[in-house]
Amino acid sequence: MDIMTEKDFEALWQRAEAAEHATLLTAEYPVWRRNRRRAMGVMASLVAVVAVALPLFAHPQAAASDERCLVAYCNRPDTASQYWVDMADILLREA
Amino acid sequence: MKKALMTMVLVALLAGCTHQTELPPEGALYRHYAARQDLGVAQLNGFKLSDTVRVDIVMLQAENDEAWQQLTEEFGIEGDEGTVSWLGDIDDPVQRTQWTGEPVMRVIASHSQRTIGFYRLDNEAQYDALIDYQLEKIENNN
Repeated sequence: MDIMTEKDFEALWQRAEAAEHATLLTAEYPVWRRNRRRAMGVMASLVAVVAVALPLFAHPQAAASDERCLVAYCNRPDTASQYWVDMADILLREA
Repeated sequence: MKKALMTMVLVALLAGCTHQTELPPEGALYRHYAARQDLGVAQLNGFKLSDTVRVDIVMLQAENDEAWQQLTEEFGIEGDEGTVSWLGDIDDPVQRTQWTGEPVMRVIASHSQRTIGFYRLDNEAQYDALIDYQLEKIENNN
């Protein structure tokens, strides 16, 4: 869906007025405005979803663990952070 | 309105990435060993000891006997069974020290797990919470 800017619409209006089509544009304007708002809403939702998801993919080894640990880093991507949390407990229990 | 929304999203995006990718300065120990192929290396930031106290931990786990032997020599760990524990210097955990209220590393080395844990203790609250947590774990295990 093409999104017309305010400047584009103004230019179109001027041309339509000169061509005496202003009445037609007046009828079409609410439809155009509603479509434009819908398109902007879809774009804003998309950007918000990407903003939330991207940090999770930016550093997969730093995925947040459960609340027992805020952030876990590991040089073994296939090892779950929970493994290290459990290991920290084991060491404390054995010491 | 649109510009404000985009700005807010970009700020949130940048803040999130920074939080996830930047190791704190005390991540030097992790970085020192992270490239080793024969070691599993992990850093746990904000390991929960109680409702109000968390600590940062670095773990080194040897993948074979040779790597473990090398670690025990590097950190001056004697014996070949059981668990060894000491308070180490915050910048050089090999050096044994005592609790004076200054930041230290509580180091625990387990022969059976072939693992060394470095528990960073910056203040007395963390020091006390670690002991309480450890006692709680031992009691629950018995």
